[in-house]
Amino acid sequence: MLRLTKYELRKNIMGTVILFGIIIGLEIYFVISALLENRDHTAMATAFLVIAACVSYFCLFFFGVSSYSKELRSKTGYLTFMTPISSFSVIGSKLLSIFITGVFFVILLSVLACIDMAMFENVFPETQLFTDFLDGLFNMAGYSPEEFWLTVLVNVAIILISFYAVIALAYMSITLSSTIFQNKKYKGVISVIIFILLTLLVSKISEFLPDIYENVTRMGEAMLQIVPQLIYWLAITIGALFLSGKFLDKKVSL
Amino acid sequence: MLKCEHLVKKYINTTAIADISTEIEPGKIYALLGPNGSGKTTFMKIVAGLIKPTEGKITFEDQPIGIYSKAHIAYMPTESYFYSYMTCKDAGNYYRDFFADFDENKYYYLLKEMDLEPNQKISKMSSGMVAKAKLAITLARDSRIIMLDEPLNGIDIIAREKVINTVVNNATREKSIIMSSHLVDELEKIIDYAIFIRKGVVVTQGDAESLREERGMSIVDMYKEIYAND
Repeated sequence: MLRLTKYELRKNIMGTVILFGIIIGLEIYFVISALLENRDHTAMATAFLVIAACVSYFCLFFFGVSSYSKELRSKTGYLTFMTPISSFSVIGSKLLSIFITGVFFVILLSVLACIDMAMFENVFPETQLFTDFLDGLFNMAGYSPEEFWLTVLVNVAIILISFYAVIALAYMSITLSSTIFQNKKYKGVISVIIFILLTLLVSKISEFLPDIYENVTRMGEAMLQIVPQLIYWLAITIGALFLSGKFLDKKVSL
Repeated sequence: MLKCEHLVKKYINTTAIADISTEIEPGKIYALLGPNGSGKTTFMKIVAGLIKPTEGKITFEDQPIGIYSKAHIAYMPTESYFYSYMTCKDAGNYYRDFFADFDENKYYYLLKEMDLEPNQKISKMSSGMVAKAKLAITLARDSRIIMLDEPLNGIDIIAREKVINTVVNNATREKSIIMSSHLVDELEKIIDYAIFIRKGVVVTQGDAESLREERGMSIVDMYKEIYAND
């Protein structure tokens, strides 16, 4: 699987480089604007960087899903599927490559955010007041900034795991359209409908997950509160990938 | 080595394979003959594990088609199947990484024989060059079964002889070579066994020499007779 991941990363390198180039370009725009203390351009560059961070999330989803879809619909799939490896390894390598690319962008954007924060405060000194206000609010509520950031980190983890679950559901929908629905005329449309319905269904079910605490007053409790969510999304991811692998093994048709 | 019993493959409105039963033994060169749409490619894809049959049974060395068979069966599809970024060298690295029977030195030797450069990007090559690259990488595997789907497609008349010779030079007593081609006359002189397929059904098969003796005609003439009304 690791060897195949290397080829997966290489296949998607162009998209990754373009995304990286855009972020670096915007960062240069931000740094120059901040050094010149131009408030309008600094604000604009900041807005663009935030948008780029959000877009990169969707780009990763697109890279992952299109790579798998292409594998089952184009001739390059021959190369992958005639290789003596299991279908689980094929799917696993794609997820791993998305994970590695994702981690790269999370680190890149986090480092840039840390660097840019100080420069931003220098251009917009009034934001320091807002930061102080937040600190005061945490102190009054008995939270430390460390605990706050820990909670943010845990919630980011949930977002990432649910992101993987959605990718896994997309993989399962694509797999179904290429295996058990391979003889249906509108298999592409069927695949999209299955994906939308499955995503809505699992999101709806997640709303009914039990709360461990009725009222969360401590950070530790807040962290425990998300355990059912973590288990749920992990189960969805593993289940969808398992079914995709099984369908590929039994019904693959390239 | 490879046994197929009553293989069937159906699609939405068509039946690509209606009934194929055959056995592939080591040390022989097989010709899979038939016009377009007769089911030759579908059969090869089933053997390569790229398609699952709708009905029937297929085993390689008594095991179902899967990871084990893929490690010992080399398949050359008619289309270019390499990733868009790949040069000949990249494709070779991929095969080296995943196929234990891949001989890198032989691959570079065959590329040289085919007048191809390792650093040439495959997606930028002409169809004839791609055909040669596919052939070089497939024959560089020391597989028990080598399947070549239309290996002479896109190859000019001068290079055809070179390709045929390369294939023959790779035939040993341990391995089988299965080839499909419309250019039956090119295959006539090198094949040991012929399988005639029409509309997904094996109409005739047998040892090439025995077929010639029984029918009193060449494989080319047999081809013309069988498919005359198609």
